[in-house]
Amino acid sequence: MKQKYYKEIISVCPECFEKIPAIIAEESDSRVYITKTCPKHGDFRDIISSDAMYYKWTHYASPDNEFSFEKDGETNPPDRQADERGCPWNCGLCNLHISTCSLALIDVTNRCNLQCNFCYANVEKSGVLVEPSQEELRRVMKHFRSKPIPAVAIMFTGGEPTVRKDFPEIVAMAKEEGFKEILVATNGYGFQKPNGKGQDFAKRCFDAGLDTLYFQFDGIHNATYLKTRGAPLWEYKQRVMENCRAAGMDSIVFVCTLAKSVTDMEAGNIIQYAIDNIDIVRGIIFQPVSLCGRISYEDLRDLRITNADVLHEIEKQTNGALRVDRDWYPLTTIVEFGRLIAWYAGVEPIEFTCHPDCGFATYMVLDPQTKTLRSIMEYLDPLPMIEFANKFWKKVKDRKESNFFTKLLGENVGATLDKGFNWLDRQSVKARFLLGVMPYIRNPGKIMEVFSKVIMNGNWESISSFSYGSLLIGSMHFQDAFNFNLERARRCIVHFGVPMPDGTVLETPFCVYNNFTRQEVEKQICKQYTEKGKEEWSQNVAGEEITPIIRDGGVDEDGNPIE
Amino acid sequence: MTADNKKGKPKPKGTDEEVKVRQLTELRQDTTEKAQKALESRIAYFDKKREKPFQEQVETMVSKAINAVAELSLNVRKLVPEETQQRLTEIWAKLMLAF
Repeated sequence: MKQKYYKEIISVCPECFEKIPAIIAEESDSRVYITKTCPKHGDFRDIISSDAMYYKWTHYASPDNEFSFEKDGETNPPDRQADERGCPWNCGLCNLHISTCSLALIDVTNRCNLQCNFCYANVEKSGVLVEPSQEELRRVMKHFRSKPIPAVAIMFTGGEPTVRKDFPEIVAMAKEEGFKEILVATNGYGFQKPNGKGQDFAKRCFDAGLDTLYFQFDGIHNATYLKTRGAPLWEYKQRVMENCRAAGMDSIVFVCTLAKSVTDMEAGNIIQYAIDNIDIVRGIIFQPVSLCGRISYEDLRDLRITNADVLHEIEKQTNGALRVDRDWYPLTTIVEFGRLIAWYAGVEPIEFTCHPDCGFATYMVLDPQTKTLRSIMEYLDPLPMIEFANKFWKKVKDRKESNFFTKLLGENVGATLDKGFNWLDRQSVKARFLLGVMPYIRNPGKIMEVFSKVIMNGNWESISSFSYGSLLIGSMHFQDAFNFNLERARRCIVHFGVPMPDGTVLETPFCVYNNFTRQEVEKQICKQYTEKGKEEWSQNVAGEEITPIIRDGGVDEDGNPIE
Repeated sequence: MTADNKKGKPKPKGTDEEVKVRQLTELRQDTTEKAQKALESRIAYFDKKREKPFQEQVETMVSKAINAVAELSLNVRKLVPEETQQRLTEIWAKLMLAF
């Protein structure tokens, strides 16, 4: 596409946080920048994407604009109406928001065993304890589940959630409230404990219903952890892996915060380590660093890394196993596809109707014939397939179940006949869909068979079994005041839930909370911080020798592959 | 890793903190036997969790049939010129969407 990208948006001044107009535009160096001027604090400029071609593609997909990754989401009834301050200042969640929540977040504590210098939620820095009671947590869970389009997944965050002794009980509570997928964002504290304690903790969490560890994982070298976390955590991280494996907890997603020249060189190592531990690793989410707080322009330029940088770095470090021009799609790509699968299964869909800039993902799938992990794009022609799925969804979404025989023959015989008829109808629609996508399959084989089974069975177990043997790799760039785009905040699908003192729940998008409102809200909900619990974790950062892992993965200090 | 690399290169000097973290240069995409077994047992666990044996049988049969048709159609497509292929795909999509 030859035309240069240009868009006028609303952003904020990084100094005073006042709303100001901004321009996102492609410049002569084929990069995309955001520029804005605050009447009080002057000009600001930051990079949005280091690859203008790719950026344009993620917005328009095709030059004729026929296919777009900008998808409108469904909305829940708002919790409040926007006032004159508008978005983001009276956020919580108002009528200006245009997506539902697909992932509910709750900060269960701001205590942590680590003190990372860039963390926004730490009791040591804030001096106040934010740790909701179980009753308050249940109130937040009920809030998310009671919406007409309820949140399907919940993630416990912090601080370090596993420093709470009642963490397994909190997990069980989420299961009771009906969440289908329960995750914990953790540095691994509870799971890494030596002498069988970590394994026992993992088992208790697993039994309580914990599905996935969203596991802070910056690399495979102590040197990296010293830079990012101020401690040599490589053994600690491996203990988490071993204890989870021993406890049968086999759904771990690595989360790597990427900053230029700090952790970006570990991207390939992390993918390799995930493949080598594919029996318990389900995915990797790279998160380009979000620069909350005051920072000089020079530091910003040094650390800033965009989603496009991450994808190019991965291509370089995997020697083209994952390619920018073939493998990565915005999260919104699979909106209709996800709705179709949920419709087939008769379950609630997870709606990825966020902004195209928020994140990109791809899948590596285990080829049962060659027993290697390969990009899923080697097996299918994605764009026409998705286009077909979109058209198919339009046909399916208003399809009603028949009650013809019930009306004719009554509740007993008629209802049974209708049930059978509706089941057959649904199976025929599934088969029609599979036949419809057939021309876009490049390489059928076992993969097609497994994919067909997911569509045909469609329940959570089938979807889960598909995810075993595949590796989701994504890059999610959270916003900061420098690159803030109000449109992204309005489309956000990752929402914090905060129990407020007046008995209500504040539901607010991730980036809005962390950048603008967290401090003010925490002042209202904080408790006095005592010395309680500090000793609980301080002795356990270093631990005993562990059993060897399956394969180390990555490269050693000489740059040679570790066998 | 070559034998030369294994034997020839001395261990880098300095503590772990001082050693520069290296980038991977080539991804090894194969999986270990142990990981394979763990995966297979997990998939079997999910298969067992499905409590509808009849439905499961029907669906497995349909998926196998669809896969066979997909393989066949791929082979047929190889014999057809690209332009005709495109037209056939369009007609096929319209047919599948006509309900």
